[in-house]
Amino acid sequence: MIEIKNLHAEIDGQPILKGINLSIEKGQVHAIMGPNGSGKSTLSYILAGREEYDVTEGDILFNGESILEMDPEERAAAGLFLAFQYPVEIPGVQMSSFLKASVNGVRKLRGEDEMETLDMLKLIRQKADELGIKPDMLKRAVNVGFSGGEKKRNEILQMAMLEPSFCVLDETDSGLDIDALKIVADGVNALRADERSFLVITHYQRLLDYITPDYVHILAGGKIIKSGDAELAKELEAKGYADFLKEAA
Amino acid sequence: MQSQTVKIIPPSKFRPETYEQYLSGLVAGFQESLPDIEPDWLKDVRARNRDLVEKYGLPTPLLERWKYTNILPIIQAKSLEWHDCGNTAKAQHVRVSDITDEALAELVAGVSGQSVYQDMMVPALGDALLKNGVHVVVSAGEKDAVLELAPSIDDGQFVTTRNVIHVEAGAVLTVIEKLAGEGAYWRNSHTSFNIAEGATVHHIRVVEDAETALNTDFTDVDIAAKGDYSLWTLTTGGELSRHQVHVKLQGEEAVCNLSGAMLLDGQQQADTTFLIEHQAPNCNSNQDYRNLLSGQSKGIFQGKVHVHQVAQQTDGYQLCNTVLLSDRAEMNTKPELEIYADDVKCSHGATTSQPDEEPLFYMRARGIDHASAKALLLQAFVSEAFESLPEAHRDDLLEKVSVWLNKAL
Repeated sequence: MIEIKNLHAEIDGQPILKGINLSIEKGQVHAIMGPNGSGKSTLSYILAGREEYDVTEGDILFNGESILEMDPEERAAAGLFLAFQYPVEIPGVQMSSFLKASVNGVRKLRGEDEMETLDMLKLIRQKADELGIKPDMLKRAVNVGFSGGEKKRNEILQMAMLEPSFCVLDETDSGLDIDALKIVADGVNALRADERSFLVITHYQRLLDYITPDYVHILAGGKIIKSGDAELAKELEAKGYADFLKEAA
Repeated sequence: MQSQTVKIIPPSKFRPETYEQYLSGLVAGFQESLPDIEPDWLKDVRARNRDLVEKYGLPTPLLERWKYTNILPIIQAKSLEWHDCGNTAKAQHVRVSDITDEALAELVAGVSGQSVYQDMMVPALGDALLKNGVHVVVSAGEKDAVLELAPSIDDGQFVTTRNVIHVEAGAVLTVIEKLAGEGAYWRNSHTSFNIAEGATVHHIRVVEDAETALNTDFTDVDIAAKGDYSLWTLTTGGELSRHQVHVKLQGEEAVCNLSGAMLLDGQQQADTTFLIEHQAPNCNSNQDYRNLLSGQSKGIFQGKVHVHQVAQQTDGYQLCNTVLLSDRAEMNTKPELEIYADDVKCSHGATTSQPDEEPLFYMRARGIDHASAKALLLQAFVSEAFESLPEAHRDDLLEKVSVWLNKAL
């Protein structure tokens, strides 16, 4: 599904990713863990197509095709989704209009017809209900005045609406209390499917208690220094990053 | 509409001698061509304002409230002939009469020309030529009054319009003013509102003048206790459009809300200049403007709140946010506070920036293409200025914003 090959990237001439190799098959959930400044968020932004980052070497293949030259909206239409660590506030744009523009934007880029407004509203309400999102939140401006938990739930709502085939979750657990974390994790687990892959980026092991990964990778200094199964996350939580960093050095 | 022969012939240069010649020619033109048919008080108004124009000329950027806006080169480039606009108001549930009504003598005589700033020559020019106008009275308690103002104007014309609007106690009036035309012209309007106790005015102004048009518009508003004046202006037209507003909050708990948007492109220039005087305690004033400037356009926002000593517990709020869509566009924002009372809450804020990249990327990552994302973002930015507008009118204005965005982006 997704193949990251020897990825090197920099911002403002400062190298951040220094040769990442990662392959994720259909239906798999991979987790990337790493200390602050290891390049976790950079990797997620590059996958989504943020323009400030320069890819200097390597490639990213999505269903066998390079996505490096694709605009962010084209990547979304191809089935890639990034749940932001810090969802952006958009004053004046109502949630429901935003969801409509998003779903229809993707359909337009895929050459499909727009969804009927009534069908759309029905779908939005149904998906929102499943995530415990109250209808009045859909009338508010996107992320404006949302609590940390509401923002993250909103990301999962958008994911559920767009039904992407590859989802990147960038520190989705940050700023969440345990109840909010469970709701978000349940939302993600409900979307796990044979045809859908996940890359879960997190600083702490806590999220992985709720979203069990098939593979865990440790990112440090812009490289994956160790890979393993779900047990690796627990080992990491017990020992801390220092031992692994020493081991890799 | 009647044609008169007052020629507004601009001076070729701004050397003092030619400028004086220009003014004396203008004044001679008034004297020669205006028929001598009005009541004496109106003749006095004219004579006094003519003297004022003669003494001070037309405003130049040397005057503080005109520092960013120079109308002289714009007039200079046009050959204009003065026309009397007459009465073009359409109204429901209001009484409309001619402005020459004796009852208006004091009001009309009192307004223009009298300013500590000595810069009211443009409305004075209108009153120097005063012949006709609209007088509107909304009776006490009337709740459904609607007034539509759409003065007509044509290529080559200099038109002065004068409206005097009395809203009696407890009445509610909606004014819809549409300023548009074709060709090169100068419309000089002056509208006075007299809002009695507990009365409300909703004033919607849509400025869609030709891109070769000069529009100078002066609105003065006197508000009694618990009176409420709300203005929403959308300016997309005009080569140069100036809206000057002078609000006097004269009774306790009077309120004014002045909001709007200037959306400019090409060589357009628009100037919004407010003076709000808090002359009584417990009054509330709000200013909220959102501007989008493209091409080489130039925007000006000058908002002044003057709190008199008696006006304790004043609440004054001012915000002017501008997004520059081109690196050659220019915004000049000048907030001013002059406060003589000691128990007041006054704030002002202004931002001038480029479209925000963060929300753009967020929207694109959700499948909304770049142009649509930008339009959605800017539409939302502008629409905040019209949030308090009743829905039927709001949809109409937001549709115009959307049309403008589709053209400009």
